[in-house]
Amino acid sequence: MNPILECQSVTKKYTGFTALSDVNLTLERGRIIGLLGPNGSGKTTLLKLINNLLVPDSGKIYIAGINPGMETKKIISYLPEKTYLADWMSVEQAIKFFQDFYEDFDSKKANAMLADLEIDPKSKLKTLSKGTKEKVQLILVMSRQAELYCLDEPIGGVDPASRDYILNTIISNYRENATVLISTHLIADIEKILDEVVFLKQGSVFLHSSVDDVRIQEGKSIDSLFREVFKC
Amino acid sequence: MLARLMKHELKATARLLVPLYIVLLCVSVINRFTLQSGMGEGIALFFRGLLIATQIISIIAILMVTLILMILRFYRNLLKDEGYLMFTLPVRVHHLITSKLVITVFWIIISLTMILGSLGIVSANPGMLDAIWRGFKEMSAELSAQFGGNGSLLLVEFTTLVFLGVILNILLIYVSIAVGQLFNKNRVVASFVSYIVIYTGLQFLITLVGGIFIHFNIGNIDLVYLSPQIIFPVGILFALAGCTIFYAVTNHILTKKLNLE
Repeated sequence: MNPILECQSVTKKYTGFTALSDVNLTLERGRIIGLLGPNGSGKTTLLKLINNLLVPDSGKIYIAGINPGMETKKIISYLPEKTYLADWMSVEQAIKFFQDFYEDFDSKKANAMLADLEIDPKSKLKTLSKGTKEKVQLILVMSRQAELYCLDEPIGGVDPASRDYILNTIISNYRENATVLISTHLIADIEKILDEVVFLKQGSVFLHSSVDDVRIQEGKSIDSLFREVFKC
Repeated sequence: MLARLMKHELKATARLLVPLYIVLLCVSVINRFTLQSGMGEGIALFFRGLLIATQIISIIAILMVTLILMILRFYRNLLKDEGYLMFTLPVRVHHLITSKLVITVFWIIISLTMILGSLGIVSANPGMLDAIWRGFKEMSAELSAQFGGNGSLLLVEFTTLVFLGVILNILLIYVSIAVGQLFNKNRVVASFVSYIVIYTGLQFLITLVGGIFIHFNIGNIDLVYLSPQIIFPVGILFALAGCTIFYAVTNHILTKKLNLE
């Protein structure tokens, strides 16, 4: 099977600065990968490019062998850092919306997770706290049977107690062949579920390695390596 | 997928417009009965005045909400945070634009029908429909006489032109907002400026084409009589070309130059 993601010398510039410069990256299927880097290192830009919200200035991106577009959106489940659900909707309506547009959406799974987190499906999104909204979005995104999950700061806004539930949700809800790409600052929290890490530094891939290799070769945790590499 | 997008667009907009329609229709029905018994005096006069004011305000509110929804649904649902969801749905970008356009045209038609209906409810009398029908027939007979038997053609062309004019104006707003989002700061101002620039350009073009046309046909009185054959078809083609260009540019920007905050 072809890799789930292939970036070939991808460059993306905004007016004034280069967000990504000559990024080459291949991600295999069936992994949980941490996309790590300080603010402004290009993590969100890379996720937006994968999700076709941006078009690269040069270079190629392939998702399961195809260029980003309508077909790739069917197989990628994306959680942006933004609250992207219309706040007049109820949780139930948001579930119906996902069900209407994504063939791989499993509403039973979504409802079970809502029940676990004690979120009332009838409640309007505008009455929910920011953290609860984030949980709802994560539930929607993880209730799809996607091939690639792109999660941008999935635990940034939720309390530490819910983090474990969410991390468990992530691990237990993706298929064996699916890949989960998680961008985050909260490395210590997430480290234990990662198979691989990608360090982005000033728009370039600084390191792409398996977590075990880092631990064996460097003799330290990802969190301490990150602190060392990105020391201010 | 276009049908599903339209269904959701309808849901998102109906919740604001339908209650207004209901208010307008109820007030119109009440006004019909109260006005039949005269304006009255004292407190009765005050309440009747209030009811009439409510009807007028409802009409204005419907017009405003229809207009504001047209702009806000495009801007907020596609280019603010909700855009992260809309542009990652497995749908084509032009389906997003088309769904918004179709539903906007739909609400414009319904809003105008509701307003005419409201005025009809208040003022209708048994002979009125007949009078309208007679007036319509007289008008088309008059037009046919003026334009050498092409009266009905002229009406069809006029309706088409108005319809295309509405679409052109909606697409003008869409393309302005699409251009505005290319800027990293002050997007609303940029959209507004784009609107003025494109609108002025369009007016200039129309005046220019019209001016050249008149210049070469000065003294040619037949031309007015040939409206159904020349002037209106040219207008329709012009509007169609405008719609196509605005639609294509909007689609291009949102596909290749999307710049979500």
